[in-house]
Amino acid sequence: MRYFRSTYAIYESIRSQLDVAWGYPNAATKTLTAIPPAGELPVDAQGRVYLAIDAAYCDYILPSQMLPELIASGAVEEIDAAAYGAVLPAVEV
Amino acid sequence: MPMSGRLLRPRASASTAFDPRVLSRLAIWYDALDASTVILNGGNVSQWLDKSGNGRHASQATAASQPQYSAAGPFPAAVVCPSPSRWLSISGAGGVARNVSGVTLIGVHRPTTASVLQSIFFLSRGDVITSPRAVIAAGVTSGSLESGGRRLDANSIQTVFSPYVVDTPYVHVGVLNYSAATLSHYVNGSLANSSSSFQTAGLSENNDSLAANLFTNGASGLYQGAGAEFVAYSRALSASEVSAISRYLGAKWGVAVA
Repeated sequence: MRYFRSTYAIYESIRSQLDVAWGYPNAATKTLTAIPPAGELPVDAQGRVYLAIDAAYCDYILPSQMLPELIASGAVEEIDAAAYGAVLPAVEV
Repeated sequence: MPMSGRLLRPRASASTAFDPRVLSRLAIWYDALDASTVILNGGNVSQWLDKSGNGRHASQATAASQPQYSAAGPFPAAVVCPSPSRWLSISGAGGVARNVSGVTLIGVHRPTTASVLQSIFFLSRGDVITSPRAVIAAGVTSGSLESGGRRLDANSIQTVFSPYVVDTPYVHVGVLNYSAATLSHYVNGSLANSSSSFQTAGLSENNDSLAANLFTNGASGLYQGAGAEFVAYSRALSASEVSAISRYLGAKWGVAVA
């Protein structure tokens, strides 16, 4: 697993780019989008959205090309599991 | 005189003649061996169709969260979660555990990790979407398969469990008998654990579950491993019925069942 955070607007921009590249939404495959919509993600007090994603997904051609530049520019920050876990809501058992 | 064709016809065994539809109150049925029921986005599962006839299909519309469909073994076909980031949301399942005398959840699966909570087949409460009314799970107690839930939304959860070995396939059955206040946890056809004081006796909460999922509780608890077949009934199966369906599933998926 890999973990990232960014602003809502930057995340949605990335998601939109991925969707255009991969042809989502796709009615035939019943797939609406590439990565979860920002509104479904955990958020911190600064309004940043947090994404946990399969490391293998990040190795797909498009993410592997986009990620280094996004991280280098500071638009996206890669974090660790602990930082991600800290923003998850408490789950009532 | 030629031999009668009747004599040459192979006799169906009890295990292969069985079908989940034989038992009453079938609520949900997913079968990875039936490729026609698995809708793919490339090699990933966007929808797993319900064969029960109730239309309670399991779906995932986000590509990165879609499980994989694999014939790579040990099951001849399975819906696979290689990492804790894949799950399926079940539609229209609110009434499966609503105002019923019992619920039975069944999963043929093979977990690949032991140390974290993993919800496998999950029906939520009617007031808290991530809290179970009925669930079969792994790893709540590290290295354990579990069955449990609650009768009323305000009740505390109760589970029973038994140990498991990572990378081993299981026929996992949780029978929540709300009317009799019993909880039975079967693994590979054997009663592995039980409680005779499960909640208080009565019908389950008379409201719809807010959510139903495969491989998550909706917030965390993501499963890692392979799921081959899942069946749910809106009643508590008897011990003989659990034995029959366990033998059917064991024969079908190559799992040694008592």
